[in-house]
Amino acid sequence: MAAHRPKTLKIVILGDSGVGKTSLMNRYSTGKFTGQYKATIGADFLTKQVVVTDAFGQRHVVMLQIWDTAGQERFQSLGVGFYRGADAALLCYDVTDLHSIDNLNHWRQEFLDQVGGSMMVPGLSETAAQFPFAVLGNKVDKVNDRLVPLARAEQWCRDAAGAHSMGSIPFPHFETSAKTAVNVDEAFHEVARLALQYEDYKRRSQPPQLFVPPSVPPIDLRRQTSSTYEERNDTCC
Amino acid sequence: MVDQTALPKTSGASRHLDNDAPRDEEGLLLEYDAIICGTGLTQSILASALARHGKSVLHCDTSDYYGELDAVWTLPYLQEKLGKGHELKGKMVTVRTDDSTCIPLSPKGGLQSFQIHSLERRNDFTVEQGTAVVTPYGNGTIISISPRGLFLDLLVSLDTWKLANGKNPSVHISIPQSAASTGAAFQKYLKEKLGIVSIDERDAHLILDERSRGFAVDATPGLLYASGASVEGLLKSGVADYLEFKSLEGLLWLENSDSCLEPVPCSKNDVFASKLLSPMDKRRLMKFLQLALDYGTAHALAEEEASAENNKQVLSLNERYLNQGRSLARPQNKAVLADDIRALQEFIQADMKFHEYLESKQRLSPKLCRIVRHALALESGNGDWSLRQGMTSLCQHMQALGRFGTTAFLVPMYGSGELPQAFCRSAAVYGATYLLRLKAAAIATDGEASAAMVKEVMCRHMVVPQDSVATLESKSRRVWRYLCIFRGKVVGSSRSPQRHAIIVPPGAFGPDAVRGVLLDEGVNVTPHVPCGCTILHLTMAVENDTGIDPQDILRRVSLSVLSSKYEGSNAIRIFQVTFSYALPEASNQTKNVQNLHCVQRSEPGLSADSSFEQAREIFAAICPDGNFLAISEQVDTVVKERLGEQIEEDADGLVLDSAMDIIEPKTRESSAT
Repeated sequence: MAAHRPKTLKIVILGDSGVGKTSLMNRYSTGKFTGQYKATIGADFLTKQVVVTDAFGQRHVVMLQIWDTAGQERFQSLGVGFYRGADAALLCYDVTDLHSIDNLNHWRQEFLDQVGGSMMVPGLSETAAQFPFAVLGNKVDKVNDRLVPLARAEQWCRDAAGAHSMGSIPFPHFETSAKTAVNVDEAFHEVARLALQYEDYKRRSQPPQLFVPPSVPPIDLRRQTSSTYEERNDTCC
Repeated sequence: MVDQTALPKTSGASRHLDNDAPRDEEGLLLEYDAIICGTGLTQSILASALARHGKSVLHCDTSDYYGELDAVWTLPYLQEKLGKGHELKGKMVTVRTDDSTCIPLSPKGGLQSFQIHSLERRNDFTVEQGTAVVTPYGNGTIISISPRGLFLDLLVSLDTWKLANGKNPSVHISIPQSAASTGAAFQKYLKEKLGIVSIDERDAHLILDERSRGFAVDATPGLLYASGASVEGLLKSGVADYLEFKSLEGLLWLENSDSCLEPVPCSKNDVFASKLLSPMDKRRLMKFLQLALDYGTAHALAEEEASAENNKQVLSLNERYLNQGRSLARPQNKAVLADDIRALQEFIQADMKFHEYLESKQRLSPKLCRIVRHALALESGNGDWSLRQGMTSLCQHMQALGRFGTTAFLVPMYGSGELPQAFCRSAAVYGATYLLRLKAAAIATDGEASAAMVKEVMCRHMVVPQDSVATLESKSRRVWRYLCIFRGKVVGSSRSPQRHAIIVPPGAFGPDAVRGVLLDEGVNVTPHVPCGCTILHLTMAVENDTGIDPQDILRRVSLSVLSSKYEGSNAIRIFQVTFSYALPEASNQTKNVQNLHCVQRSEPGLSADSSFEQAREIFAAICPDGNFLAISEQVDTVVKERLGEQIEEDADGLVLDSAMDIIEPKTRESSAT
């Protein structure tokens, strides 16, 4: 069954209000940019099927599920449910807003606080540091208003990644523009690759077991057929 | 009150979706259609329904998490913050409507009556003869502890090694008598100097310390009927996109303190296989369940005919059967005589009691009668149910059977506390504003700002939890919750998932019924550990001041659950907590205030479906002509505009735009900003 359906990777997009999270998502999914700023309404999550090449050159078809904050980040009111089951996180800031890059610490910490425990790979306590984050500096098209130099953002990526484990690789950093589409596809592609890698790592670091009991897949209410009915169908074919 | 007819209808309905609605410096609207306090399940469903209908909604909560008493907590949170009595910081907001009363709101909101009674962690692990232990040399068992001169000689057989002769090697460890004079010092010496601890203690440490963040502890665990108002609501609102479920594995019956857990016969197969019933009982039960199903079908048909005009999608009888307890509704099960249904309907008209009907008309034995009442119809509350109530509830259960999985119930992944969060997200997607850590101070209806208030927000409708306005009477009912964490598994075998509901009828342990849910890492509510971990939730509603000790009753139930574990189970209890909260009754003070809606905490049941009903009622009061949880056309148009679907239609314009971008990027940029 699992072989037929591509693996779904949940990616959450975090950052201050107005840095362009929804615009980035829209640009990535529809290739469009709507222009003026409006607080997010109607943006939920989008799914996109992509092909990711892993470190061994093997190609995987995965379903990216990118979750918008839906405006709940405005007053720091994202609940734990938003983060549940995330495979990677995109941290966004605005290159024309110094405050927004300072707040990345807060978003990263919030993320780790909310999901840290359930993400934990058995036996490894510093997985928190290995959890895939990618950093996006949006609005690079506004050349004249730019306040956050590239070096500063890269320093942050090094510091944040190195704060927990020795000699770690800095978070991947992209300077993007939802308006002109610079680096948008690249950033999402990289985060998909990292999510897949982390997922694989998580799976392989499980303690070896001779017998793994078959796990029942969760029920998706949108599929109207009864699961028992479907199972029966499977066995007779 | 605000005269609503005087206001232009279009301006209020969806202006907040555009950016031209007046806002204050913090970005809040000056006036909302509805302010909802508390993020309990009912309020969250309501928020989603209102936002999708195009109303502007401000939804706030005093806590820093979603869900109030429907929340999901981590274990450290339960231990540290709730256990010690937390002080929440937040700003005060006054809510104002145009009448002339001021109702103060409790600063704790819906958590006002929440109280922790006990919180215990098992610490009395000892190493003695026969204890399975972890040693630096591998796992083993203590064979003997014997004094030898000035030393204590500890003989440990190492189970993980095997010699050529098939025996386990053993090690002798000498402990100076002086260091290990008393029991406690001996244990401490073993643990700290020799690194020998019992396996139980090691597992408890692993579960409760190292992996404690893997817990999702529900404040009020709730299941969902696999068909009915809740699943319909989830699908209609799109909230089903955010959630995943697993089906409950089974319902278990605990007759009394001397008996073990027995599966409740729900489907035809269960009835035949059940050991709870005599052959005569089985036959009578089958007949009665068939009658109930036919009654349900007849009832639904009658309802459908009554509302035939607005119901576009009419199901054929066949389709209907497909969604009903499949194992019961088979053609070979002859339809019950129409006479029986007619007789049943007459008894309903005559206002007969449910148990009376079962005993005298269906001639069910007292035991079977209890099973039907409490495990199949899930009778709850104090006082006997009427026949109508009983049959409605029983039909709901029967119709949900077999839709997903083998039971009628669904368990949300990561705990039922995910439900309110998912609905809040759906509300946020359609423009609701969310503010956690915010205390609503009072509802002022006189239009006069009082100096003590930090901030005022106007609204037309106000929704508050009953707890925050009611003065709690000592007589009111309280819900007692007990939860305990087991190392290991209880039901089935070491590999079977623990997803069971437990039903304890009234009179078994105390005068009130107890409901329980047994869950494990299959639904991600306990950490994934090699030794296994199971969480048991027990819930009971009792009258105050009746002289019974709810804590004692719940503990005894949990011991009975634990004692009916399967053979070879390594289940032990390692953590337990008891807390309670009130079920306040509607007060007169709030009934008289127009446009103030109170959310009543419902009698704790096995399913969360009652919240959907209550949310629907309040929604109907706020938007009499609205379609509950459906997206309104207005909102749909605005959303489509946002997501750029209109641009798609204007392909020529897009080409022109992009051409302009190429020619004059600079000038366009400045005009856009």
